[in-house]
Amino acid sequence: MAGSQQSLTPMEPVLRERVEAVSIDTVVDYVRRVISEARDVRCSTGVRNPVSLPGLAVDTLSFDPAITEAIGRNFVQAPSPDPAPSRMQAFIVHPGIEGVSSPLSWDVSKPCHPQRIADVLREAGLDASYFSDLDHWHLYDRTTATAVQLMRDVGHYPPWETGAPLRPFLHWHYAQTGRRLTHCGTLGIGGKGIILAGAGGSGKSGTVIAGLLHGLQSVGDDYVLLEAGSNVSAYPLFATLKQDPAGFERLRLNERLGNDLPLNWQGKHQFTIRDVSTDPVPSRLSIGALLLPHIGGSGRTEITPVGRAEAMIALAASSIYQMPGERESGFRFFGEITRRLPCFRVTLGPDPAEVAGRLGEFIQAGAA
Amino acid sequence: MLTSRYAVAGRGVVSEAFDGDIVVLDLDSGRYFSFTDSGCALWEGLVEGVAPEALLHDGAPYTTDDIEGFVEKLVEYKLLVAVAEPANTLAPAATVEKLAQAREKPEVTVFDDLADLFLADPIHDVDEQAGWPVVNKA
Repeated sequence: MAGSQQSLTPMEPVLRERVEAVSIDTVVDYVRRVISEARDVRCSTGVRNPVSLPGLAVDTLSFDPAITEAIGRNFVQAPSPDPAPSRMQAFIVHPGIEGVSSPLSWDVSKPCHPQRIADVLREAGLDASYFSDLDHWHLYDRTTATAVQLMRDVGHYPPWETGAPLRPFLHWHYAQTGRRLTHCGTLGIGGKGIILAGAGGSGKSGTVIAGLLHGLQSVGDDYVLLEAGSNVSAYPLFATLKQDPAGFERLRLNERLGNDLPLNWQGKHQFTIRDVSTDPVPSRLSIGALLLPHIGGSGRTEITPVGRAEAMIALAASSIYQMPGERESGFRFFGEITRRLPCFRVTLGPDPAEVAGRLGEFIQAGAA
Repeated sequence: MLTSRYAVAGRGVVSEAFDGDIVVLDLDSGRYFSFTDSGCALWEGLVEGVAPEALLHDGAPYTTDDIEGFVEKLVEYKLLVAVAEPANTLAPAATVEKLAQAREKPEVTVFDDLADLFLADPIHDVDEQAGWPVVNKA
């Protein structure tokens, strides 16, 4: 690895002038160059949008209208934190903006392993992820907390980007602080809550929405911020909710949101917590249990203990693979979360109000 | 095989223990693994460098063939590799106690849920063996 780094300096002039593709030998210089270009952008057409998150203030400058809109719509803005938060600058850029070069492709003649690339970048204080179909890059400098999302042109990003904008940057930042973006749902009452984990189709999102519709609170579904301090805490980041058409109808969301809500890239309706609940999103939930939802039959909702190994797998599975890098530390983190919480299986009844009521009783009874 | 020393196959193989259960995750393939009660105890001993034959004991619910088959599977799944160093001949006391309490034959269960997610998630839709950014065909 040291050899790779030593070879970077003499390669930099070549990279600047002629290299058309990035390899493990040049990726550090490339990431630094793109970040430097973005920081120097001077263009009045970009939209500045401040985002206030738990312990973090993000100043975004976006030149992509859809991502700009998503940043404005899909975050849960945190109250002003005390003490003063960390700061991040995030640039969403593409060529055509003065000073921004076209994104380079990866040099496919020199394939190498993702973990090796992550190691080389991390030694330089950097993170990056690359979506090859679109030459779409997320680049992050840990030292200066500067983030760059570089795309070929406006709209040239993977379709999931708008649901959880800035997600890789937030993952990299919070992982440094010992917290993790986690793929799970949450429900709570009066500051106490549960996390819901499971694969797609387990009923996790439907349960969160059912709870919101019937008086429970949530700090988010899909991606929330977990902290394993003296207690396990969950903090809100994204307000995004999703539901497939069948669940949308079952929860009678069409009566609330209409029938014209478009489907996203997953074939799901996408909306926000604010669309289904007028209660403010709590700034934190103290988590008392990890629940694995399972769509049941026609009976009432049942909550029964489940082994920690199974619970760990349910919690860690998608969280680890939906965040670039940091896989081993993620596995350890979710192991720690699982060890601290009692774990239960929830066999969901068919009536959303009954499901919400049962979970509300469970949380209030202190089992959570 | 019974006198060899084994080690975890690489940094991509990680494990966590919960109340006597062990979850092993192969970060490269996305597959995870769990064991029966004797399998958990054997895994603990094997990753400490204990020779398989040193993990046999009177009254064990498994035979020499069972333990050989178990180790073969762990090697086949690329969770363990044989190493040249001499193996330990004594198991840690905690492992011995777990082995004595075990009631099941040593077996490993493979879960492909993570692998499915890995393939289905386009963010990580790369071939780990060929490397980034070779895209999986699945």
